[in-house]
Amino acid sequence: MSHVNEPANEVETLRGGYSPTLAWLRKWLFTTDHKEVGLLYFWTSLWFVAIGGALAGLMRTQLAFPAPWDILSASAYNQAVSMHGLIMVLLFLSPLGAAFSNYFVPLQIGAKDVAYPRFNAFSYWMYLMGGIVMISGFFAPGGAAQAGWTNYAPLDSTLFSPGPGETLVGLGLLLLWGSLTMGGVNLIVTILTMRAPGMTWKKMPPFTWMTLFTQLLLLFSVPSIFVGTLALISDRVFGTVFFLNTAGSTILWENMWWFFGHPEVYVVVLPAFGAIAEVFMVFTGRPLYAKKALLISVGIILMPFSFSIYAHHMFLTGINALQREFIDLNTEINTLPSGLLVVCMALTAVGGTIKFKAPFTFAVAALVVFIIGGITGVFDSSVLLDQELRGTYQVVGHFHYIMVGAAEFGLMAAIYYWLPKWTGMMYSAAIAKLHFITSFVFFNMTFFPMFYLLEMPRRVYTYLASTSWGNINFIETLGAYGFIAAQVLLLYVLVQAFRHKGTPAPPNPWNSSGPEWTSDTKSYLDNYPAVYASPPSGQSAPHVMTAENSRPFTISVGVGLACIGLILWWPLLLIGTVLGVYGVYGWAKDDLNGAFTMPGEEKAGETWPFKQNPGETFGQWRMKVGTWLFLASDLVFFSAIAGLLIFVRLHLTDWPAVGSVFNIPMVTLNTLILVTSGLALMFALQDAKEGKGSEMTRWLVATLILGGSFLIISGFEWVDQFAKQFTFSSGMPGSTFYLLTGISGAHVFAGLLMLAYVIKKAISGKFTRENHFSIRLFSLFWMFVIAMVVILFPAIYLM
Amino acid sequence: MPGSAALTASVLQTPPPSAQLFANVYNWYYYLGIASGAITFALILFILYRYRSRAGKEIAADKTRENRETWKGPLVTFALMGIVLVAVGAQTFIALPTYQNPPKNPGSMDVAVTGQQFFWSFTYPNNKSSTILVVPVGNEVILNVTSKDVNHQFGIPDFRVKTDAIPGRHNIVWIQPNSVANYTIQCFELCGVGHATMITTLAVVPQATFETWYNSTGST
Repeated sequence: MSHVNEPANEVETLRGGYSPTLAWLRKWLFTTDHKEVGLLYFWTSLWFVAIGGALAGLMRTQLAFPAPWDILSASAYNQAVSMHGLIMVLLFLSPLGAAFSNYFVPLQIGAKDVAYPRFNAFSYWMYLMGGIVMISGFFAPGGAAQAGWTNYAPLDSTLFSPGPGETLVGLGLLLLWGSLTMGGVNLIVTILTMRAPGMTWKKMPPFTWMTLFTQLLLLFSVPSIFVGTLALISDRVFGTVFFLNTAGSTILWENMWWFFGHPEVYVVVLPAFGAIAEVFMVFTGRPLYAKKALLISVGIILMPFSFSIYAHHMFLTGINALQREFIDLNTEINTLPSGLLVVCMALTAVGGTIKFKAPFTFAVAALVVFIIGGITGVFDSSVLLDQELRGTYQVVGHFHYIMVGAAEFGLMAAIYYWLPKWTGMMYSAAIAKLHFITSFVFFNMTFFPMFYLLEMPRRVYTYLASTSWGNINFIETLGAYGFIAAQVLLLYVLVQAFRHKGTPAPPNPWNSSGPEWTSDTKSYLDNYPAVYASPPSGQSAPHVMTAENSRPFTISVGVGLACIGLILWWPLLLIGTVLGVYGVYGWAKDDLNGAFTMPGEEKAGETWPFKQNPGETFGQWRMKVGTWLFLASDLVFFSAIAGLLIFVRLHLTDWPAVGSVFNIPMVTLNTLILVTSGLALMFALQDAKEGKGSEMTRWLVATLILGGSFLIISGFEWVDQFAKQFTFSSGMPGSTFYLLTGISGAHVFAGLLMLAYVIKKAISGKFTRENHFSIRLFSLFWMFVIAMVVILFPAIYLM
Repeated sequence: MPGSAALTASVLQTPPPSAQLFANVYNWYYYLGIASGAITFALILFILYRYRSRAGKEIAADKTRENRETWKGPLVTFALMGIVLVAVGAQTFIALPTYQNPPKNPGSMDVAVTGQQFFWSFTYPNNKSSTILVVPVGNEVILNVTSKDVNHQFGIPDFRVKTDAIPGRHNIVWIQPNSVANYTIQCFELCGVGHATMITTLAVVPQATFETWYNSTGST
């Protein structure tokens, strides 16, 4: 399959006759096709792993010898170890899984693309820009963030990390959380609503199932750290005191971080296991053993439990003894699905005919290494043993066995397995074998000795010669060099394949019955032989949708530049904001002009659990499902805020008396104004249903005016409080007030922007009594925001 | 996994009770872990060997989307894993109260431990402060650990004792030194550029030596 790399003449004509370079640029910068977006994720994740790997090489060089060896200073080492963790987990492993999910989920379920192609591209560009913002810290005064990948408070505050590096990490993370949220909604809606007729849940391939689980985990874990990161940025940029206050600080951050951080490790591993399952089936020729039991145990045990066991990272913080024991138990229970994964893979091979090709050997290696990682994890689950093992290299060994071993080897299996599909070329078996052997040997050489270092602290840039750790560290460093060098072989394989050098592969070289192998690899936009949708009315020349749209790129670059500019150089902030606003405006304009539509609106296949209403188009139904999912995630987001507030209030007894700070009558009135705007919206909806266009528009405008008034009055409230010396830095009461009202206000503002778009549509006469879908979708969001404001009202003002 | 040396015999002396308790529990996890791993590896290796393809080079057409549902294997897996997990978990839960809760024998001494960037300071009941933790052999010492600035982690590896030092919080650990020796105390949570050098000593001295030191003025 080579369409994504071979500019065929037909493609060039599609591209409007641009020069090859420009066409190539436009293709990769503006594509919304899930296959190309998948490849963007792929190459970008490899770029980031090169950076993360280089940092690892530097760290291992520094650790090869005991003090006074200081190739890296303490500060440089701390930057390296912090950024290495962030890059490897968030910018490499997770996106590499996303690369395969993006490329293959639509192919596996028989869909043309994902549910929201532009948001898909947007997710990618936000990921890239988020990563760039984080890494720009290396070029900032003071260097990159150096508070560990976990950014514990108060080390991550401006008091103890004064430079811009940590702020840049925080801002970059915000972009990443946005990217992951959008990606989650996108893939889940795709899987829920775009399965081809006959693609039942039972028939869905394991890789798609694991993607579904991964995205669900992300959708409900990211909101927690999203709020945490907002609080951190609020501290660092606006002077609030969430993490400088002993009533908040360490434990608050740890809770918000690990509620995300623990599910994140499953996010990293599950796509790899999905690929391993596919590979095991194909290279043994046998069905997956106990697929239903496996999926149920992952969905019903692993997923919910992963949210309840996160505090095993907090065993030494002094949390309640009963809680610790409960979590110890739950963590042990959570090893059951993981163990089942291993057993099911192994038993899949029983009765089969095993071919030891590269994908399979990597899959077996992943499994073997996962066993070691899993068992060493059980040690850490013990409240008692953790008292010694915490903060030592035993933990470092454990999680590298899972992350590098299971996840990375699993994803390497995926690369070799699907490379013929991506490129139409077969890799060199000899090189692949060499890559496997060297990777496996050097991996174990680097990380197994760590289990002999259970007294050596983590994140230390040096250690005393009087310890006996020097020899082991030296061996580990040699192993690291070998492992890094071995990956050059993979790079060679990839470059050869993508440049179409070597042996071409048949369309289905593995004789796999996986659905993705049956798609027509020669077609460009459509995954399955199909007719291009008819051109939008009003277009003269024969128009084929190019799946090209510049807005995701423009908005992301704008946001990224703005973040960097905010911290490092304010002209960038201006440029970025202008670009971002231009992109958002352009997106809305595209929608109003119908300039971007999905290829073909085929009938929905399996539809459980969301029914499509008569009169709804397929696209509208998808939008509705996505909106509900997004609101569910937003609800978790607001719950995290509520959690923050509860936590702070429980720990802080000194709080201003009710009514002493705020003008309760005024804020009550203001909230009522917002509620009234919801009422106006209801009237508008009613008029829409009755086909009364101008009344409907008037009520929509009334909604806008009332909502806008709410914001303006809130703005006056802020100004008033500032005048009364109640600012961002007014202790926890100030911090929580401004964060909560700020987030609510941001939601209202976003809603008003959406409303402006809806009103423009109304004025242009786009709504009918049968079809006023945008208003109904908007009202879902608006009612949600009003509900959140009303619920938060007593929490902020009356307590 | 370990230097087993670390778990069966301490450096030169008898290990402190906390280390012995730890070693007992650890060894359960260690041996059962190795056994579970070995059995699983053996199973996998056997399956790979037994079902390797022997003839031909092509991959057989994959009839892999067929039904192979069963609950037997999963339930057996859960049961076997459950037995191992219960066995090791029980060791933790049985030993935990002894390990965590200071017996508060008569003669036990409370010492306040404060971590800050980048050293530990110890404050004794008579308000004497020191940067080395000097204790008399044979007496229980209850350590009340906190921090003045960022998160640190107070650990005495030879005693298998460790806890977070968090600003605004006080975490308790206890030790029962049973030999005259010096032990390492180190910081185990990244706390800034001095993290690697935040090292000090637990000096266990004879009773008489301690009395003299304790009653003398000035910090050590």
